[in-house]
Order: sequence, then C-alpha cells, then structure tokens
Amino acid sequence: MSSRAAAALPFAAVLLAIIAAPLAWRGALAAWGPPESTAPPSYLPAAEARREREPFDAKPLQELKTTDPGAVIIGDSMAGRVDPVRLGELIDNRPVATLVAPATGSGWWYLAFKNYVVASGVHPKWVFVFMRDTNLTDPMFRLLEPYRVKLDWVAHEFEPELNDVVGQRMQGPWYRVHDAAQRVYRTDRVRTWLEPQLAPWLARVSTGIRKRQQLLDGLNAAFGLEHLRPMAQADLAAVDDQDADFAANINRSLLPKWVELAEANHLRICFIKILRRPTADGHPAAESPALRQYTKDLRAWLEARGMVFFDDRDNPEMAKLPYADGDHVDGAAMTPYAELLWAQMQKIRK
Amino acid sequence: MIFHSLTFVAFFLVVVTVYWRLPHRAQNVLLLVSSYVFYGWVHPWFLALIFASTAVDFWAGRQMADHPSNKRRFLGLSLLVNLGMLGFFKYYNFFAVNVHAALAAVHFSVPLPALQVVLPVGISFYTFQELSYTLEVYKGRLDARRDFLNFATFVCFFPQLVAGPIERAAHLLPQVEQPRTFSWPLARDAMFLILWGYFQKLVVADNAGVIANKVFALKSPGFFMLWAGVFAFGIQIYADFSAYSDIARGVARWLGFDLMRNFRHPYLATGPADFWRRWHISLSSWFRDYVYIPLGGSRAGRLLEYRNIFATFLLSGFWHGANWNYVLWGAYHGALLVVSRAVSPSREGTHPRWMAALTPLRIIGMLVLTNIGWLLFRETDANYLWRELTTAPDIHNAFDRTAGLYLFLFAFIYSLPLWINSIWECHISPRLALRDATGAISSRPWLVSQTVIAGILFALLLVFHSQQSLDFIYFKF
Repeated sequence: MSSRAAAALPFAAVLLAIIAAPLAWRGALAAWGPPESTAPPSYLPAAEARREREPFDAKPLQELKTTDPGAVIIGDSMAGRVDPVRLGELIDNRPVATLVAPATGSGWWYLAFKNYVVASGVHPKWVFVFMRDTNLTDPMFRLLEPYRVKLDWVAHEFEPELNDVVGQRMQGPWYRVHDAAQRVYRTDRVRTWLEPQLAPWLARVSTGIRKRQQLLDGLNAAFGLEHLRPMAQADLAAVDDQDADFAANINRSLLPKWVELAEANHLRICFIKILRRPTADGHPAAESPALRQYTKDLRAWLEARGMVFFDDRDNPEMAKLPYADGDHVDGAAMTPYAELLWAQMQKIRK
Repeated sequence: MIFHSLTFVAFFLVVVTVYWRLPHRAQNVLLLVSSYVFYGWVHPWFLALIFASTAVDFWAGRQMADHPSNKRRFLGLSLLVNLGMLGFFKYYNFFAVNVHAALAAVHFSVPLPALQVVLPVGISFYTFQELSYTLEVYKGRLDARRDFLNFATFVCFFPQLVAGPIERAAHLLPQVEQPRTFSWPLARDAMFLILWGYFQKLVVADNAGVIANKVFALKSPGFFMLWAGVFAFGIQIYADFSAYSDIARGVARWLGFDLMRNFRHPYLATGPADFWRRWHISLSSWFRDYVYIPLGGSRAGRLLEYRNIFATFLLSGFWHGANWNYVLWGAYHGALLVVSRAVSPSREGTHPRWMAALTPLRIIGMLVLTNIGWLLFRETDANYLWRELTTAPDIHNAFDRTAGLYLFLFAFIYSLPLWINSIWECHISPRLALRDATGAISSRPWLVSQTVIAGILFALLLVFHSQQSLDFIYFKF
C-alpha cells in the first residue's frame, strides 16, 4: 500500500463510522419504535411513508367506456360553472362526462386524465380542464393532508410522474439523494415516531399533564391568522408571486407530462382559467402584475404545443354572470356559461 | 449558491477533487473560476460588481506603491469606490426614504426614486476585506500586489466570500500566494467542523428560527411569549452565523487555507467587552483597527475614548443594515460598553479573586443584556419595537406564562448542543487534544470521542433538521 493511501485510511475509517452511525436508528426503531405498518408503500414515496389508502375508484373508467362522451370536464368545484347537459347539446348532442371533485388540485386532475380518460381509450372532441390562477403549475396545491383520500381514488399503485414532481417540490432537485438516504436510514419513520412526542412532552413540562392539550390548543389559536401582523399577511402574497413565476415552475409541474400524454393519445385539451368572484363594488376581480404575466406565459406555452387556453377574462360577457358564494357562479349562470364557452371555442377553431 | 444545498456539496466535491491534482498557479485559477461560479450562481450580474471593485483596489494598491507621494489620493479613490458601491446598493433606499420624510416634515416634497435592485449578497463582507488591503498598503504594513490572479482570488475566495469571516489581507493573501499542501488529518478536522456547521444551521438555527419567526409575526404577543421569541432569535442568529463561519473554515481547510475563527462561545461572555471579543470577531477587530484606533482609541482621555467606542458601535450597527433598528442596536452596545468601562475600569485579569465566584451570574446577566439587544436587532418596525419594549409582564395571564415557558423550552432544547459544545471545547477537548506538526489533532482519545460525537450529530441531523429551511441571516448584510 502506498504511503498516501495509508495516510488516507484513518480518514476513511472516521468517515465510514460517521456515515454508519445513523444506521443505529434502524436498531432503535426495531427495539422501541412503533410496529412496522403492514400498509402497502405509498404511490407518493417522496411525500410519505407506508399508509393505508383508499382503493382506486374504477367506476368513472367504466362510465367513460360506456358513454363515449363528446367532451370530458375535469376540475374541482370551479368546473361546476358549466352546465354539462347544455354543453352536450352544443357538441352534436353527445353526452358530456364530468370528472369533477371539489377541493382537488392539479395532481388529482392529471391522474383523472391519465387513469380515466387516456386509460378508457375514448376520444372526446374536447377535454376541458378548469382551474384558478396558478393551480395548473402547482402540484402541491391540495395534494397532502387533508386532501390525500381524494387522490387515492384516482391513483394507481405507482404514480412515478406525480412522485417526481412532488419530490422536486419538497426536497429540491436532489430529491433522489434524499430518498435514498431515507430508505437506508429510515429517518422518515424515526421522525414520525419521535417528533410528535416532543411537543406534548414540553407542554406537559410547561403546564402539567392535565392542561397539556389546553396549552397546545391555545398556542394554535394564538398563532392564528387574525393575530398576525399585516406584514406577515403581505408575506403570504409574496409567496403567491413566487408561484406566479411560470418559467421557474413549469418544469416542476405536471403540465409537460400532461401535454405529452395528450399529444401521444391525440386528445385535445382546453385549459380554462376561471374568473374569480367580483369585488364588493361589483367590479371584476383584480389580478396582480405577476399573475397577468404568468397567464401570458402559460397561454404562450400551451398554444406553442397545440393546446387551447381560455381565460374567462378573454370574453367580457363572462364577467357579467352572477356569482353565488366564493368563486362559484350562481346556478342560473351555468347554462349561459356553457354557451359562452362554446361560442369561444368556435372562435378559437376558426 | 448556498452551503446547505446538495448542489453546493456536489460543486465542492468536484472542485476539491480537481484542485489537488493541479499545480499551484492552476489551483488559483480554479479557485477564481469556481468562486465566480459560486457567487454568480443566482445573479450573474453580481460578478460585474465584484470584478470592478477588485480591479480598482488592485490598481489603487499598485499606484500607492509606485507613487508614494500620491498614495492618499489613491486610498481616497479606493474608499470612494468601495464605500460608494456599498452606499449605493445598501443604503440608497434608506437615505431616500429618510430624506423624503425629513423634507416632508417641513412641508417640502422632493420625490426620490426608489432603487429596485437586489442587494448584492456579501457586498459588506468583500468590501471590508478589500479595504483592509488598501488601508494596509497605505500604512506601509503590506506590500502592494502585482499579480492580479492572486489578488482576485483573495477577494472572492468562495468559502468566506458571502458571509465572512472578513479576512485580513496580511493573513489570507500570503496563503493564496504560497503553495499549499494537503493533509488527511487536517481534512478530517475540517470534516468535523463542516458537520458541526451543518448541524448548527439545519437543526439548531432553523428550528429556533421557526419559533422566533412565529412570535415576531404576532401583532401583540404577551411579555413571556415575546421574550421566549427573542431568546429563540438569539439562539438562531448565533447558530446560523457560527454555522456559516464553521462551514467556511472547514471548506477552506480542505483547500489548504486557514481562516480566522469568528466566534468563541459569545453567550459565555461575562461582560460587554468580553462579548465583543467573542462575537463576530473578524468584524469587531476590523472596526477596532480601522475605525476605533484611527479615531484615537483610548489614548486621548476617558471622554474621547467613550466617544470613540460609541461612534465605532454606531457604525458597526449601520454596517449590519440600512434601518434605524440596526443603528439603535449599535448604539445600545456602544452604551453598554461605555457604561461597563466607566463602572469597571480594570482590565481583564486584574479583577479580585472573589469576582470569579460571580462568573455564572455575570454570564447570565450578559445573556439578558444581549437578548435585549437582539430585540432591537430583530424588530425592524419602530411602532412594534416601542410596544414590545413597553410590554410589562402580566402575572394574571396564565396562558402567556405557560406558552412563554413552552416556547422557551422548545428553543432551549434545540440550543442544548451549543451549550454542550461550549463546555466540551472549553473544558474537555483541550485536555484530550494533542496537535501534530501540521496542526491537526492526533491523540487517540480525542479522535475516538470526536468521531462518536460526529456520528451522533449526523444521526440527529438527518432526523431533526428543520422542515423549513431558512436563508443564512447574514446574507442580507
């Protein structure tokens, strides 16, 4: 052995010892940890360990195959603004299928498209996808708790594309290294075992066992939104502006995969950005400059790939429709909305 | 590029692997290129600034050597360019807002445009490092350099470029110029240092920072919650900055450089003067040598000494940021030091023996005073600051009391490794450590215990690192 290699040996021994040390967590888990879950591995290992999941809901798949719809609507409650019956009448009197679930995000919408529309082999004239603001390029929107159950309904055992973008979002571009470390050391399990014990233990030390929960509930209330400084709330707006950076987010979203999938299966998608509720004095909702730029970039990106993008703001008549609660339109607006949308589609096709 | 990213780890591994295969001159080329890649990673336009300032100081140094009769003029140029750049990017908006407000107070409105640019990261650090060069050349204590590559490498040496330690030219430049040798024992010590740095940042600073951020986001926290938040911030800022310095020193050591130590257990200080011998040592010694002493130091009588201390600390506060709270923080520490000098004029080592028994009390007292200072430092809004300084404890508010205790304990638990490290470094490690000819520690008991500690730290780091990664605080200065 050369003298240089011999000199490196003690260093290598120390390095190995340090790298091996966290393996002790595995022993600690086996000796004192909670029993290993018998649940299957999650289809989102980048975000969670094993978990009991809801089964995949195959019913919509069968329905699509049976009805062979002229159009499919995908989205959350925002998709409720279009009257599917009227839209069906306008599309050569063919049925319109709705893959709509309230409180879902782009992860759910993508899986619904992939696992239902593509998997069914149907070829509707249009697939309409409804979204708000930057939802389309934000895969984390309504993805984790408490929305996980809904995602289970549309997810198979493995969802590698979704897991990839979630990994990138949660752990940065090196998420595969994080994943590998987690698998070797089981640090995710150790964390979920130990961390929840720290807060109650400190609460018990602070106030005694009887008032422990009272203190933790009180703290949650004390840090509630209404107790924050206005600047802290302004910071939340700044986060929104970060989400509106299209160039920074597009490759960390499901949209490229989505478009690829649509092209490969000769499916036409129209992405529709809905108009938020009007202001108290009846004016159309305002948009930040960042969001305006985002919309412009999103439109250009989709149109360059043969997709259709429609912003409710494109047609001033949309702003005249009555709203109910939140960003939901009134029931009376559903039919006019379907007609305005279809008219807009005719213009686009010309 | 930030230290606590795997991108940096990969970058560093590539650099260090290539580096030790190159001859000395090529090593410096690699250091310069990699430092520019490191610095321009997010905003490449930052490179234009650092290059311009490097070129000016290099030229000014040479001119001072070539034209000694005009050296004052060239020093003036260096000061103008460096401080002008710093002033423009860091202080222009502060200046514009305050001038506008002052004129508005006398019913005179002059619209001054706000500057919409990102503050170049680390500008305060490399500006001061370069100034140490031109000031030393001016004083004749350092020879002007004739090799631009070496000088540029000294200015932008990536391990300490963004947040220090602010190295003196007399210490770092010769290391750039001399051939360097690799040593496995030193690399091993550097690895311990880097690991300890990551632990301080990701486990201690970021977890304590979450508590501090939550408290300082509240409109009106109670007395006990507020001070628990201040304590958490005190832990955060120390662990965060000390982490950066330790990682920088470790990374530099891998490249064959020795950087100065920036912290020596500042929360064990027994008084204001002691604190400043332990906190951000590279900056406080910079201000001592280039501001306090040139102002006259303690040579011209008691009152002038107090004035000099106070002025130095005001400037030091202003260096930290363009906001009045930093000036106030500097003034507060200046006042503490003046008062401590006034009431206890005896120097260290001349205290009577019985004072040693009071050391724990003095440490606690100084910790309380330091935390009052951290409130001034952390709270950038004057209205909230006033409210917080005037918030009295309400003993009938049981929730505030227990919530404050709970948050304090949370921050304290995360800070425990810092206190243990202080005891280890001050009392145990020196007894075990024996250094070899290269300066690396060679004794077996020390090595075994250090390896065990490093293993434990790594295991804890993987599990207890904060889910919310925060930027290094001193990046914004």
